[in-house]
Amino acid sequence: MSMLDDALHIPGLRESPGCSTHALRRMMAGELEGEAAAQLRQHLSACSRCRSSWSALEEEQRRFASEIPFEPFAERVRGRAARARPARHVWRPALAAAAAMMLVVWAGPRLFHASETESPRNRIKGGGALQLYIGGAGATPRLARAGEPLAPGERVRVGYSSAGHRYIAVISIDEQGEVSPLYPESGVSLRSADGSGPHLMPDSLEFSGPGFERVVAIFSNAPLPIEQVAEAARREFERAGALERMAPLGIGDEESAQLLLKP
Amino acid sequence: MGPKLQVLQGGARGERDELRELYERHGAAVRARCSYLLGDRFEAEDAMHDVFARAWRSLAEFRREASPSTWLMRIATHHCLNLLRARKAQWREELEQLARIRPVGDDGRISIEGRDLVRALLGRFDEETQAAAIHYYVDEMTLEEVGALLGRSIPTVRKRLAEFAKVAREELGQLSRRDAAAASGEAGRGRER
Repeated sequence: MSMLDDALHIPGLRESPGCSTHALRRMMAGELEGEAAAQLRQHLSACSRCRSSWSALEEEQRRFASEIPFEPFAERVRGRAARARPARHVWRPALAAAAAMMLVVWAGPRLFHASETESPRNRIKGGGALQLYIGGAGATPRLARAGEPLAPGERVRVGYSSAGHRYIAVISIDEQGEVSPLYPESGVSLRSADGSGPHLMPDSLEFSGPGFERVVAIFSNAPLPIEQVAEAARREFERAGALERMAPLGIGDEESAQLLLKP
Repeated sequence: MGPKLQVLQGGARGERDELRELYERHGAAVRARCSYLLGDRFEAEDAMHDVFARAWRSLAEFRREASPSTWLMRIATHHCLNLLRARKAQWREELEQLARIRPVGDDGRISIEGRDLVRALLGRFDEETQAAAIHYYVDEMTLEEVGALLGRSIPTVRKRLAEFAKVAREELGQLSRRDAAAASGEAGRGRER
């Protein structure tokens, strides 16, 4: 008790700083080795509270094994893991349609100057920036606004200005925290196009599933494994708890993000 | 977090074995966290499967974790707190309910189990404080561990926990006073104190 910070003390909780259910769980899961394991064993031999916690964990383990059989568990986990993967596909436009979209986009240079990303904190002024264009479903391609709702059948084309950064990687993340590597789908960041841009990525994307989707571009001067970017995105999503509260991923040299609302 | 030797699994070891390892090592802990937060057994099992599905989808990331237990407890806690937020309306009644069902203390003092008190108070706090309180008071992680897990500095974690502890002590005090009032009310045949 005296070792515990008084400001944090609640009667009946954490009476002894040496006791830790978490440490016991880690030991039970085989995660503690060497010195840490030896220390905990020593503590266990001297602490009746932790010995009874240990027995409670063993009992919990027995109950779990008898109440949740492995086979149905495995089946449900696999089934859900597969289902939760968004049925997302890349729309490959017919050549003529692609050309038409390009034409309209490129015929409207003012669009680019009016470009804006979601929020200034995600973008350093004058630096690399993401631009999303919405097209398809008979609509005139337009620059997406932050959080813009997509109509059914509309597709998204990813554009960017690299502002001198040599590499770009683009991922998207949905409301469940599911991350999809977009450019590239695997491997390391793509070499960005020279010139001020904006440059368009090949193909347009159709995002499926409900809710918002956050598209994040990471600019860097050295190539980054896309899986590393995806992992940073998952981490930040977990931390923030929601797409709209996500901060920059803190990876690469610069980043830019935008939300879209899926149909 | 130093480098950790890991055997990278090739095709020889099947998916089944990997899943079985997750199940055997972490199943009970994840279920316990879901039950603790959600209460309802079926809801808890549902959430548990979701948490493992999440781990299964991110297996590469999961394998790189220095402590898979810590990772899973973080994900499970986060997932359940999100589910709880979706049924926010019930938060208010938690403490009332707890006060009704708690066992009678043998020394006339509050005998709410600490974990239950933490659970009942969660609704008063933002998500970060909720997670900090669960990992600190229920998991009994150190301040350093909670800080690392939440990506926050130790002073920040300490501040959140101090706020939590303050409210908890106030609630305990109120419950004690109510007990005293009830006891004297009984003695005086329903007379209000």
